[in-house]
Amino acid sequence: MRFETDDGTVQAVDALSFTLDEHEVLAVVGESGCGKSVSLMSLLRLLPPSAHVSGRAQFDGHDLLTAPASRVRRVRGREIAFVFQEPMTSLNPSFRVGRQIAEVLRRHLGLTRRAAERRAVELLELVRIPAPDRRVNEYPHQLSGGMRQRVMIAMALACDPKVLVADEPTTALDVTIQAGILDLMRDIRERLGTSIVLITHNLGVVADIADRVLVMYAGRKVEEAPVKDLFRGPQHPYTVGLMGAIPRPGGADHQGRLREIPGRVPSLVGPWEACAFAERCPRADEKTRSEVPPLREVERGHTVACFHPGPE
Amino acid sequence: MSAIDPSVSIELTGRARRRRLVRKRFLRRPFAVAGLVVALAFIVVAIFAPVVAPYAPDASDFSQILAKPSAEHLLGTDELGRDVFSRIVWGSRASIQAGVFATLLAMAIAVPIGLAAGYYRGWIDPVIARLTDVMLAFPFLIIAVALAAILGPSLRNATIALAIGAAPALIRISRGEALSLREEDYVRAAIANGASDVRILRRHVLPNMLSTLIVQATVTIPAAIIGEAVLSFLGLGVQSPATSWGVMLSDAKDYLGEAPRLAFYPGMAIFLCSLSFNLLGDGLRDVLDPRTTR
Amino acid sequence: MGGFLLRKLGAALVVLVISSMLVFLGVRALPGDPATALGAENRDPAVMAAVRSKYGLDDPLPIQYLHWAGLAVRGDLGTDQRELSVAETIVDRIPITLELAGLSILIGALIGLPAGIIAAYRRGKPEDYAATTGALVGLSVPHFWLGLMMISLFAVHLDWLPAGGYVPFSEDPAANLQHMLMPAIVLGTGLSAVLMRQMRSSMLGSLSADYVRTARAKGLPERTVVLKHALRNSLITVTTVLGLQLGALISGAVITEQIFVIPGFGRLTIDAINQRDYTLLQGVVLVAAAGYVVVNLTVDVMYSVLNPRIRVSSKPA
Repeated sequence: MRFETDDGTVQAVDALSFTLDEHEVLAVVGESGCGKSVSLMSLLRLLPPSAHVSGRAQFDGHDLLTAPASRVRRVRGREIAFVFQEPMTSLNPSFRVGRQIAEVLRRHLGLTRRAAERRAVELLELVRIPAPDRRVNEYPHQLSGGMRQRVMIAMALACDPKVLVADEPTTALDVTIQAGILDLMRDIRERLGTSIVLITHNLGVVADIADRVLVMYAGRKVEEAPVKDLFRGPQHPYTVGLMGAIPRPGGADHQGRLREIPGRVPSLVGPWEACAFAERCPRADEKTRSEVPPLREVERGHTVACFHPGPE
Repeated sequence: MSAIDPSVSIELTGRARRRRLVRKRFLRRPFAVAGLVVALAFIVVAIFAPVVAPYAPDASDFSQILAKPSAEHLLGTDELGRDVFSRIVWGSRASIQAGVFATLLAMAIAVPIGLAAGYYRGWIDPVIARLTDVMLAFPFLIIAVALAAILGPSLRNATIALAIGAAPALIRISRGEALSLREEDYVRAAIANGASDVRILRRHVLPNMLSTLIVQATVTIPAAIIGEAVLSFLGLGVQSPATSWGVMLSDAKDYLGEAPRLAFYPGMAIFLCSLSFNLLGDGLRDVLDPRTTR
Repeated sequence: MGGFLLRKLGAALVVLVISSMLVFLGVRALPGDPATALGAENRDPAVMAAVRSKYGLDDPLPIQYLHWAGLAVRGDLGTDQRELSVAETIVDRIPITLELAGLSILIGALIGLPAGIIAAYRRGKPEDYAATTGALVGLSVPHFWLGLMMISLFAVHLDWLPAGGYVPFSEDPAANLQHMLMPAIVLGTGLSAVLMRQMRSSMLGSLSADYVRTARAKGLPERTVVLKHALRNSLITVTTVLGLQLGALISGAVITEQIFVIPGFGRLTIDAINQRDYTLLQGVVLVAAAGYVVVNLTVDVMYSVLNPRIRVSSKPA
């Protein structure tokens, strides 16, 4: 997927492919700007017109990228639901919260206004908002950040979707609230069996609830594995670096400092002829600087895009 | 102040780079360029009126009253046999002069006041804000008309009246700019470093307000030109035998039946001049402010 | 919300009082002896003295002001040169100008608002360029020239519409509208340009907001997304702009009424100035200022009603 900008074409995502099984929680990990949000949003054609998307998105027997707009609209909110990163701005400030939730119910399930409002209160209860019958008539600016995020989740779950895509749902909230939201997501997975795609840059969250992990860097997939395998034996140097950067009591190196990955993410303008991570990689050599490493399966279910995979 | 002021060199290269970028983006917009060209053309014509105009503005030829356009008289003649084209050229002097000077005068008044109000706040701010509200409470034209009536009709007084009419809005804008710029980090840093108020205003606040002010000036000029036309139309601006576009329109209104072109040409001149400045102003706004949604 | 409104009301009153003082002083500052202007045409000292005492012109200025202000508040604005009540004349004329303003707003909104929405939605496409250029043209056209041209075309040459004059609505609605049509179009053109630009700018902001992305992600049809979600947030700014444009509308009405010979409030102002009728002028300018203050206040009230953030105060959880 690429963007046309005043400075040239930006190849934001390149050759990304993955599958999501039912009831699975897939975590997509990477730093800001690596293309994780954008690739998920492109599936439902939620990107601005300056974005050019190519590829295929198979869902329920249809390719969402080429399906007619009416079909995509039917999938949005009903079968695949999004929870965005910024609860402050993602809710319409001019409408009451209950009405915004009811909107989805009336549109997709054809509920009457009364039935929809009743269901909205039930949903607020599901996401553990206290005094839901009072809150349902309030405006977004009257709610705290954590509660707004819960409302977003309630809105997403309204039609009992098959897939919930949560884009950094806890990043804009402080740590104490984060735990609550994560509990909620765990709860949802257990009770409703929804598949979840969790986009995050926080490995702690990943370890907490993910089944499988996909690591992205500079718009490409660099590693994918079941969560336990990834944490036990990360293969890609970027993943290794990420693990090293996690604050862990007693887990840092002997100097007591967190290990960082030196350098910065490269600019995404222009086509790529080398491994994107080469500039920052301790294992870089001539080969990685002149060829793009392909994805290879290292062990069962564990793929890496690297010429020198392996733990440190 | 310490001898080494690293902020100076960073600003200079930043500013030079920005200027080149601005020019590049401006040239990519055909409408804005067209506006610039036409506006400059009008100004040039106004300055070189004696050279451009084939006839004197009051040269009457009674053998050719209300003549249609011809080779001799490009746009025909008016009810006194005067060449319309020449009168438009000569008239541009008064009209554009009024527009430009009124705007400059208005800015000279408004910017310091607005700056003081927005930057210093304290007790000055509410006072100025209320006074501006009061002045805005009177429709711009009524103020201009009343002032022109008090001061006596003439181009100079009309210009002053227009400037006073345009000032309140400009005060409000410069106040708003100063207010928000005051909260910027680099201003706070400068204050923390002990820089004097004058230095801060000169070095940090004013240059950053410049783009907004330029855009506002470019947009005020056509309003002032039209304002002068209105005042002259009402007999409160330029007086005969001097001519301006407004005077021509006023003379022409009695001949709408026989010779509507007498009203058409001067009005068209006002329209084109105003349009060019507006195009220019719009283009500048797009180019100078990266935050506008366009 | 109550506190917010009270403050606005207070500010409005202050502005009103200062305006009235300015009007009062302004008229006193006009050249010529006020006594002459106020009715004593002959220079007979006895008559002048009588006029002076009648109008209290020998009292100190503040007393004069309070005297005048006191009367004004009670609705007595004095009598003009022709011995007619100023207040009555104004009351007669205002509805006419209001009708003109109302029609102009109708035309301006009907053209400008939809144009702005379309231009924002189709940003960068031909519709956008057409609308934006049209708005720029509308802003640059001197409205009195437009009026003259329309008169020349529609009244003089085609004889479709009357060139000027006024027929009260109660007498003959059709004729009334015929007379008002051209002036309303003239004033409405400028207004539609301003509204279009404002609506476009505001909608561009709304359309790129996160909540619009959420609305799309919910699977709502485009029409709902644009007309319900984005528009709702833009209406607030546009309404306030509309209110503020009334001042410009009145300014425009002054000239338009002159050209189309409509006996409205604007025309009254010009007449007062030309005839040096200072009592009338005082009353007229005061009413104009008061009207503007009232409109501003109404706009502020409407803004607080429409904006839920002010209407319902935040209660942190």
